[in-house]
Amino acid sequence: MKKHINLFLLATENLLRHKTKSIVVSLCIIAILSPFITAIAISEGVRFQSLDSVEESADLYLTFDEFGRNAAIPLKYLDEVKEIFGVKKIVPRIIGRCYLQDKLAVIVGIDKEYLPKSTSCVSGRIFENEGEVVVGNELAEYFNLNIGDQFKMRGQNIKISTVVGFFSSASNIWSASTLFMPFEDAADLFDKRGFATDIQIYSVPGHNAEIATELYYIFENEPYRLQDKDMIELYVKKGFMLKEGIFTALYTVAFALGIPAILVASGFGLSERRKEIGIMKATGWQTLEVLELISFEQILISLFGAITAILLSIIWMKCFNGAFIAQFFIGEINLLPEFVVPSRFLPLPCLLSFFFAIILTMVGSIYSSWRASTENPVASLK
Amino acid sequence: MIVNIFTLVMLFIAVLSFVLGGYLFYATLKTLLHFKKVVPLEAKSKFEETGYLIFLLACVVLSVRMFVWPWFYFMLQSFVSEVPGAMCIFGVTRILPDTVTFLQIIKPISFFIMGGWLLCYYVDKSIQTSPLARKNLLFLLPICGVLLADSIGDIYYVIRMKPLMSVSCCATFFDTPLRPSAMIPQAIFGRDFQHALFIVFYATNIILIILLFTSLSRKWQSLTSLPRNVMLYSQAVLAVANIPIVIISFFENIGPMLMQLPLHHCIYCFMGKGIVPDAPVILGLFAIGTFSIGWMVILRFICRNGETQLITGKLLRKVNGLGVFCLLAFITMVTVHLILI
Amino acid sequence: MIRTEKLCKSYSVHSRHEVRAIRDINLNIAKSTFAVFNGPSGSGKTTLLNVIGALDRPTEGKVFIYDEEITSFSDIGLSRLRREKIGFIFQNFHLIPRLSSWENVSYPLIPLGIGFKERFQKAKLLLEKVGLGDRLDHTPEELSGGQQQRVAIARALINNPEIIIADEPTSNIDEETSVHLLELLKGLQTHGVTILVATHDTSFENVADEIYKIRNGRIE
Repeated sequence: MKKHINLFLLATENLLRHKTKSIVVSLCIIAILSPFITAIAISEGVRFQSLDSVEESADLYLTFDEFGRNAAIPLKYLDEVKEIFGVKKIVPRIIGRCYLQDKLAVIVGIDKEYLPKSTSCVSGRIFENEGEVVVGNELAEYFNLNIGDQFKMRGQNIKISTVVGFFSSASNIWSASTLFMPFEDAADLFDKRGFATDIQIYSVPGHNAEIATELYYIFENEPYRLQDKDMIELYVKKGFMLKEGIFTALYTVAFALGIPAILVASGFGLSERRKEIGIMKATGWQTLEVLELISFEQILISLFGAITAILLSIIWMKCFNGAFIAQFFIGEINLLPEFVVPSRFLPLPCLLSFFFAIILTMVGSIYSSWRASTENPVASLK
Repeated sequence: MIVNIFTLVMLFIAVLSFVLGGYLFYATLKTLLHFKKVVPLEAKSKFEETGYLIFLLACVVLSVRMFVWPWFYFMLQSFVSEVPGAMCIFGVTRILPDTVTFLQIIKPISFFIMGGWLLCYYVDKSIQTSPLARKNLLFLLPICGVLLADSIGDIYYVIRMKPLMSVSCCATFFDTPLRPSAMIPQAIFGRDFQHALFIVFYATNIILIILLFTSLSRKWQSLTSLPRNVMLYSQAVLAVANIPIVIISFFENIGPMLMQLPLHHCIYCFMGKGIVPDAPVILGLFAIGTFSIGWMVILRFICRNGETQLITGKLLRKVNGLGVFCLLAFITMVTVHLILI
Repeated sequence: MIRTEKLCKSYSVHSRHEVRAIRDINLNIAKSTFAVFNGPSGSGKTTLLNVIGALDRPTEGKVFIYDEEITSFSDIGLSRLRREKIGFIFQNFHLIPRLSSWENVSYPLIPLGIGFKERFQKAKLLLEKVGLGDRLDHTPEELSGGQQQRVAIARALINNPEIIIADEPTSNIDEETSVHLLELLKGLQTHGVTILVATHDTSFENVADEIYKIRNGRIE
């Protein structure tokens, strides 16, 4: 045991003495791992906020079906749906998009008492009258909006709205792109009076099946679509898994290319150490001990590289807001996002980065480690 | 193929270990074919150099395969949301069931035999004349075969896995009276088999721990006056018999009790849903404890040589100690959990 | 103690020419012998010492140390032999440039699991013995040739070897240090250490118990 501790400490000293090689290999590892960890952190952050939103939302979502996609549902069925046994509350919503200058904003038309619990008014008030809007605080910051400001929006119709309040949300994306307005105003804007994008149904637990049966009878001849919370959650998870998977697929190529890069980088300095290894073996060091020493050095470099990559990723998120990477996971944002990009550094991706760092260095340096440790002392001392 | 981070990492690692394992197989075969008991002295150096490369490759491949074992289950867990009807890993295993079963069996086997090989390599290198070089190379060949089969299995499964069908919940399989895990114990012990199974579980594990302690302590050994070989092989036989006993006990008794779901016998829910957070640790300790006994058999079988006797004896004691520790920890953790429920 | 039987070593140069460095060497050196190997450059002295010292393997023949045939040893066996029984002193000192004197001397102790303090103490004692007690933290580039050789001697002695093999130890050092080295080696001989030296230095020949003249790879 003492021998292994000695070799470990010597490996640490050697890394500090052979700074060039240590830095080169570490930089290779950091360059490969840091973007990967950042990307996964962003994906996890956005996924977490998305799932949170889904969790606090309705139990069922009712829409029409057009061309296999969700379509607007007429409000004439609202009263019938409200009467179904097991339904606690129904909330019709209009969710659309519209340009504010050059930025695509999400417009949510909803009655004020049904605003999501995760949104809270940080200044001003909630809309009460026609023509009033509550804007996400980051969106307001982007346009330098103040309370009382008026602006024009063009959907199917032009609408002039007055800002009466700013909201913040548990979801950063909402605060950065969403504004809430009365349901009727949204219907006006999109020229869809008497329709909703979807109807949220809040149900008594365990009654979803009965509600679905009743809805079948109500919409017997209509092309309707009913999705429950679990299904939405599933789609969200699958969607993020796929995005992470595609990103990882691209990254696997980088990892694979990283191995020959490490092969070259880890070979640096080992030729200079030929003589040193020859002296070690001449004075009684065994090949396996030399191999163990070199392996410890590789592992320490990879651990250092992985830790630095994780720290850099954290800095990348906190100081640079996920620049250049966030747009892979959040649509329609710039290279330098204008809002705080959500991120979560979970243990599994960090452990994965350690594993990849170790695999990269061990596989990449197999040949150079072997060549160095099996050096004939007579040949290397010439 | 389902594209997510788990499948891609799995694919990358499987391809990497296939390439490394393939080269390891080639290097081992080449060295073995050129192996002669009496070689020109200079050729011995070249032979030893190749031996070190083989060792290095084997270590890297083993490290990679060790990571893949738990990662395989993370990957299966990630498929739960993809497979319609799946509530836990069991649902996922209903797609390509033969492949999944094969992979679930071969992964612990590859870990076990690689560990055995490393121990034999350690013994060989501890002796000045390396008397076990040829035996170790021969032993490595089937190990490479297992590793390659494991890697190919992983690649095949990842590529072929698609959520093509809807599957049933684990309750429809594990919670019925005619579940497979209940059939054998019911046939042996009758209807009230769960109580008897509990007793058998503790009895076999405690006897195994006592046998391991006995072979560890010279004083105890002199008291029992059993030859060492008889002791070791009886430990091995009991360890092999203990595997299905522990597995069935976890299905029938311990898993449901620890999950506090007395009628739910799904081992995947026990392992993967976080209901018992240290479930992987408990089963991991059992695995290593059982493997230790197997490793002792491998050491006894392969390192049978006058020159290696002393080193093998010392290593056997250490592995024996590891086995005792792991099995004792395993049984203690299970008992503490059961008491605290 | 050291015995060789028909020892041969050949080198293939660019796979075209074979150079026979030593041929049919039969030696029998008793314990505590001070043996000197004399011969012109290229006669095979270094090769012979490398093979006896388990640094290299012969092409043919056998080497016995304490009646153990070391030519049948694996690489690990040879390493162990070098660690436990043999100390080397090289012509060019072969110190590790980035390490201090005491670190160079104690380097062979690291894989033995000996702790930092103990290694330092042992190295310090030996460096004081060779007259370098005030140069513990100096790196090789801060030492003269003679001082470097003394550090190399201390390193060779760190594991209490039974055999010291010195290849042209005085060719790169001053006369004073040569005399000091010779006294040191003679002192070790009185403690039972077998000394094998390849040298042209006549002062070594004057005190040697056995002198072997090597010409064209053979002992005359």
